[in-house]
Amino acid sequence: MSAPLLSVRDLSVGFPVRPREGRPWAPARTLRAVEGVSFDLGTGETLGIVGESGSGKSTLARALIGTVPASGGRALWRGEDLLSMGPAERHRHRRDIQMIFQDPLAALNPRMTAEAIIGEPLVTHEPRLPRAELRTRVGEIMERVGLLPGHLNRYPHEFSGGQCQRINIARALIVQPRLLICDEPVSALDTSVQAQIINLLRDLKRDLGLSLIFIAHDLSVVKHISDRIMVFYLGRVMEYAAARDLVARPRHPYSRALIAAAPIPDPAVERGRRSEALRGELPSPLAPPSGCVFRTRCPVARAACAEERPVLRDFGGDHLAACPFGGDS
Amino acid sequence: MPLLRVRNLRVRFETADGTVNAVNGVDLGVEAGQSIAVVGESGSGKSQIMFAIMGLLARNGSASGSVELEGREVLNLAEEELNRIRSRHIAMVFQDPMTALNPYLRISDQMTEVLTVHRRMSRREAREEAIRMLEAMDIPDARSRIGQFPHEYSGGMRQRVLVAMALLCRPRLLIADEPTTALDVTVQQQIMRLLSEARAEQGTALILVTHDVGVVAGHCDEMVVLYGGRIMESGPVKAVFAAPRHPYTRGLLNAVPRLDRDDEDLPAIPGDPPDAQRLPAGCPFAQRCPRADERCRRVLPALESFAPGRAAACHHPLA
Repeated sequence: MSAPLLSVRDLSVGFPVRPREGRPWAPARTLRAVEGVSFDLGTGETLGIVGESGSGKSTLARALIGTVPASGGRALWRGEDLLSMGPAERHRHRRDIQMIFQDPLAALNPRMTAEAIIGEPLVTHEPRLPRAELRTRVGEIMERVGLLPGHLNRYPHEFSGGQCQRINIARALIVQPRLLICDEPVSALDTSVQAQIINLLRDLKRDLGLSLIFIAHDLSVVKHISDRIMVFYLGRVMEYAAARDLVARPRHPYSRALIAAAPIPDPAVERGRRSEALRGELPSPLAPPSGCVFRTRCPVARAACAEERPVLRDFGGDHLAACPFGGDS
Repeated sequence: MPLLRVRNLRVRFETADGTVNAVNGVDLGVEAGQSIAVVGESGSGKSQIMFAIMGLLARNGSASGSVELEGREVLNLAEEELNRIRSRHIAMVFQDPMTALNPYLRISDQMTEVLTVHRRMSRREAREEAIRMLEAMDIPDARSRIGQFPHEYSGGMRQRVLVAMALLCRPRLLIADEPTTALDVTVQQQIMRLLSEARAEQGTALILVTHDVGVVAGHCDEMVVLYGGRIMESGPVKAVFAAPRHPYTRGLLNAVPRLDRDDEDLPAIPGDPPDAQRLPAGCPFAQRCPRADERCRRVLPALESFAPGRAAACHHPLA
């Protein structure tokens, strides 16, 4: 791989949380939402991030686009650290990194037409662009994402969920970003429409040379679109490997549990899979377990797991897992 | 006699923007102990069928047709009679475990109410029974946690409380409306396993309303595929998955990525689900169907049986 587009090193995000009980002057505690995340993302690559609610996957995305402050680490964008930039400098890079969100309708201003919504980022970044040119560019991008040009003057509520997500994608892509961060982009959509949006993102990535960070809780969807997958649990990376390799040969017990819990839409296969469901509850992120954060629910945890935080270790072929027993099955 | 027989059920809503035809003539039969999946996307009418059965339609909604529970007509019964049937005969688990619980009441109060009202237990007996049920649902430390409020439970635990509540009166039929959609996948696995175990032990029949064909594959015997408030296809789960007859069924099954395969292409269904306010005259799926012709757009295909236990509503069914 040539020099990566985005190189994240040891990124952490912490939120100060006032304790609910205790004296008013009791010191705030830190909720470590994301801790020590590192990865490289090349041009045209897709990184899938999978994890359950509260795993920190969305917080990581927000730290990268600068809507929550990182508390440590670096995020090198073509060599420059996004996290230590001033607002003006950051603004220059903002058009390079765009994001789409889970609820496609909530992400759109109900009082703006599709044309105004999609054109707005271009007005922000190229204020001197003539109106006619703006209109042409909006029309082009609408066509590219599969929206009818005749719908320019419609309002968000006149579109279906799938069409609203297409508007979000058009708005993100009109400034020709290099990286598109998708946070649960299909989980609010109907099954038949999910596939349309997944295919659209794949085509756009291929045709425009885009890099994607694709965040979702559905491992089947993430695997389908990603080159590499990062598995999150309680703000920590459990496993990081090539998508097919991770699913075929998971090294971390949590990844195995996620794979076992993902239903396969085929009764002939699904009935034959008899695996133990993961027990217990997600621990509070304010008081994560000592050592390995997954040990309280891990089927193979041993006494040593409470002692030391396992580090990500390479099991060969760039397949990293944070479990010292990852070789055993 | 089937446990539940639904015939020609129609549900419509009067709204400021006109009439919404949510369910347009649905037949359904559930035998004792059977598990049947009602599969559909948003606007397919799947939840409204269940609300009509339970007598829980919104005020502007009305239902017609017939719903027989153990041979007795229950559609549009008076509230008082419905209350006797609900929970003893049918119970329901809803999608959102937070809004289905009363945030002001302790879990113990919400669980024991059904038992003191419907099973005429004393408060002490009811509390013990509720604790046993929570323990059966793998709620840790149930004896002390039963005194807590819903917000002190995680989403997965709240859903387990709802399943426990639904099972408290040992209903003959349990209706679960997207019971795991709001939950994480590892929690979904826990809940579905609990439902299956309880079903096997108590002989309860289950109607599982879902959009997730993966859950159907693992947990149901029979399935009904809905679209535009009508049944497109019905039959045993294994047979329907192996050889879907309706183009919509095939499209839906193919549109889901599979973890056990490395498919490059994901065949999507073009377009969007129909608007229940503007349903077409012919087949509701015709607009999106690769096999549709003029006839499909004009003439509504009837649901016809083509093999024992199987039926499809299509002018050009798949071989």
